[in-house]
Amino acid sequence: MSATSRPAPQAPRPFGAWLGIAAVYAYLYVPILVLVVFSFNASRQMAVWSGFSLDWYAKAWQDEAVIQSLRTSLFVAFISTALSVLVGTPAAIALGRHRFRGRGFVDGIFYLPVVIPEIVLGFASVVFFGLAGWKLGFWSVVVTHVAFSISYVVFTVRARLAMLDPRLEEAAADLGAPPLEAFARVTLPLLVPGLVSAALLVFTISLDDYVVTSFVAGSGGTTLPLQIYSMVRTGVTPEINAISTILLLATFVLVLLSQRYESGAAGRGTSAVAAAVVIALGVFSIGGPVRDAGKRELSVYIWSQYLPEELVAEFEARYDVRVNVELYDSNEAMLAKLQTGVTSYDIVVPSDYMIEVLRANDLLGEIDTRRLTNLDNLNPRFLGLPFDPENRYSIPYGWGTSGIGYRKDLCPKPIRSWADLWDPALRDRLGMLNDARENFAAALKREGKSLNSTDEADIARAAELVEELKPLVRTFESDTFAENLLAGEVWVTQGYSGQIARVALENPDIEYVIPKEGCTMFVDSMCIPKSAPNADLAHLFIDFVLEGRSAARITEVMGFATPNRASLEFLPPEYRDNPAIFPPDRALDDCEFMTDLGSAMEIYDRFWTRIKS
Amino acid sequence: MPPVGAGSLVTAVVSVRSVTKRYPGVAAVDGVWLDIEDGQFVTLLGPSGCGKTTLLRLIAGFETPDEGQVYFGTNDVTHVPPHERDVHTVFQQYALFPHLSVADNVAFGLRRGRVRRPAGEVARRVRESLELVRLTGYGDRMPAQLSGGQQQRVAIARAVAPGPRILLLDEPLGALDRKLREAMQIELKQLQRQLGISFVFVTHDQDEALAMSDVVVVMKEGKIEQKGEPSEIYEHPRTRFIAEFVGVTNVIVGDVESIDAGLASVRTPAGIVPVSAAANGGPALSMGDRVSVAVRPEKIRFAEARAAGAIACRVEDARYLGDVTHWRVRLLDGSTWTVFAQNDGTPEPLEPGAEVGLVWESNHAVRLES
Repeated sequence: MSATSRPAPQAPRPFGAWLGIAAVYAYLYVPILVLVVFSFNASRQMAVWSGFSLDWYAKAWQDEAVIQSLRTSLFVAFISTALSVLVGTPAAIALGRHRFRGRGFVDGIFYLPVVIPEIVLGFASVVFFGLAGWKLGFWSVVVTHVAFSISYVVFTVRARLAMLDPRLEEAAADLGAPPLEAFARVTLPLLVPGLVSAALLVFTISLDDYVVTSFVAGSGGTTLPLQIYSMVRTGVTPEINAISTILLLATFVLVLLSQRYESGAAGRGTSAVAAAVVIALGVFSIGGPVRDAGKRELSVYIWSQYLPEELVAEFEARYDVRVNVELYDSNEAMLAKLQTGVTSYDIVVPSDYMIEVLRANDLLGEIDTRRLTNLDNLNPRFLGLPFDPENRYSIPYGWGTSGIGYRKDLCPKPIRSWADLWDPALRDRLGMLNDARENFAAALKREGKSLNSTDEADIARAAELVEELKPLVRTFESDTFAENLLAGEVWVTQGYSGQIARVALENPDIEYVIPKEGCTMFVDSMCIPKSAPNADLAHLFIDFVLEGRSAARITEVMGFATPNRASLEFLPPEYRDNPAIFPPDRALDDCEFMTDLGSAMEIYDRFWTRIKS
Repeated sequence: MPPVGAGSLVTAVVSVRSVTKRYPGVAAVDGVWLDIEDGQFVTLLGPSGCGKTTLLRLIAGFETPDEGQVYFGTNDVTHVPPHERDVHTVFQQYALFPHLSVADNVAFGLRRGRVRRPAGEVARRVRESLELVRLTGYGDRMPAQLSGGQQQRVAIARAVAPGPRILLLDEPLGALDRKLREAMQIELKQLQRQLGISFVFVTHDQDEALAMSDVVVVMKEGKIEQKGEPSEIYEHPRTRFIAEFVGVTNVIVGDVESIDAGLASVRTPAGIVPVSAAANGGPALSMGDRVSVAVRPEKIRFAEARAAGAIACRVEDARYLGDVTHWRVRLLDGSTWTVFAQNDGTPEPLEPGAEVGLVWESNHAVRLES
């Protein structure tokens, strides 16, 4: 044997190198591993392991909203995969096999969607749909997914094509096969691994996409990633870990299959597995749409965890309609969607100040209160509120306050006022909402000012106070403050009454307090957008929510209070008599609704940016 | 202009008429005329880049000429696409369809859209074709499971199965080792006789060309240099390029000194060389002409250094090859010649440095066109 044909003896890898590699892998995968591990956690607390359990998977499986969004995701993925392969393959062949003027330019165009920032792609798409007057919904998602998937199909198929011996096509022609037949009998069969690989890849991308989808999704277009994201807003539970784990697993399997096809290592076994998976998922995904074909539709655009599934099912059954529930995570996100002008929502549930904004933008239609037979169930205190004095545009849905939650067992002394937060003993044990207005509200209220102050001196003073508070703050967090309190990570937190009331039911050492200086009070109300395709059904839905029993169920799910008097008899005592949910009237005396501050908001934003940096 | 490759139009199955094919910067095929007779084994021979493969692709229809026409019989097929031409090709790297079994590869040309053959006939012809290339029983294998030689046979079976009038072979033996190549040469020749169709065979290997062909077409720089039977190409190369490309040769240049009874005496720096004065494709010689003369090494015998008519030289070295010995000798003008001597028992009393004479029959001295 010659010296050159023998592989050079490998020097044993030094221990340091192994350590380095291990560190890189740990950096990449430990967070994911933690997510997966805690999906099997028996406790709902993120940071505490209390035994193995599959409960969260069962819960996810029974969560109709999750399953519906999974169906939508798969359905979108199937259709957009099929369309992008059908369009992308001929494009790849044209680019790979034929020379024509401007090929380099056309080539470059196909690369663009891969490098364009997703956020730009998403925004561009929604602008396009707005101009075209195309309603955002299921098909707008499909069309957008096809648009960015084609690039990936073109790449993958071209790579495969480049590996093919061009003489094979010549051989087919030589043996008498006309071009189309040569393509069908030789080129296409040899491209199949590339096509399958491309299909799996774009299926995965479609299944996983969040950013672009969040822009173009409308009613009927809530995919699993959108669902997960909106669930996160109301607190991270291991149910989300479970769903994420499944999504992760599906992605992993699809990418693995894709790579096997790409490398040509896929055998009959792989193909059989892939085919079985595709058929099973296909049947599962069209199960939902088929069941509801031809029914009237009501689209509800609402905060997550605001609308119990059984109410949706009951409404669907009573009126033989289909209800699409779409979720948003902030008033501003909802506003942005409505502003596109191509949504088809029949019900939205904005907060107080946002109703003024929506009205100013002429996005709300009038509500015909004569058609609401259950209107008398509402506590008159919640009718004619400043943001809509005659209830022409809004009917209250739920209300709450943003006060203070604290751990009686951990805090050195009881918390009764905002001033109690400025206590050095709370260093690194304080949670605040990640929201400019709420932080300034705490400081303004402490000083006895209105939390809607537009006085620059007041605001500047409040900013100083918030700056003082900053060293004590462990997290500025609007999503998981209640979980953090439950886990004892923070001892005191600013937070919304509903979430804190719910964790207080789990741990009696948690107490919710409306500070004696008063705090923010909010009412979320049902509105009918001007563009609602089904305002009739929307009125029926509002009336349905106004039934005492419906309102009671909503309170149980949300943890927020209901403005519905008739619901009290249906509420269990731990809700009805819970001062965190239904505070005594006098506690609310100094509470205020936030109002739209107009240009004064810029002052808040300026100070807030300085504080946060 | 007398077309070098032209033959009888009446019996030609393929007729290439004044065809030119240009690629950027180069004419790959440059005004070529070539007629291929029915049932002939024709070899296109030349160094790489000489245009032989392009010429083959022009016949197959993969290329369209920039000028001139291609006829199959009396039909102008210049612009007929490959799938409508009644010729099949055996490709250089075989180009077997990797996703089809051997049988399906062979059946490919039998199942094409235009001609619908009954399944029984397809199966029969696949079987016969595989039998022809001695691959009976291999029908169910996939191409990747076969050796290079077996793949080669499948490629041949696939090309002959539909019964073409002409088979085109593009350096089909290039990828095989020498032993297998020689065996395949014999097989291919037998196959061609058995089928009775024309083969157009492209190679750069002169042994292959001589051993297999009825007609050898030597190409250089897109043009046909000479077309003829193998012995004609070998014994009477028209140019120095052919003489040196096909076999080994010794060339010497001199001036005609005298002509006597059809024999010209050419004075060269190494001595007087006799050569036929008759025309050899060119004009007859006359006094004072400058000519190149080629003599094949095996035509030369050793003689006494000062024998009458012998060219004097000095032995440089010898390569003993068993059946023959290749001698290298240096002439008086300093040029080096090669002499092949059969090891037939005749004593060869030669040592390096010995002075000897070289003699040959005057008809073996070939006059080359300059």
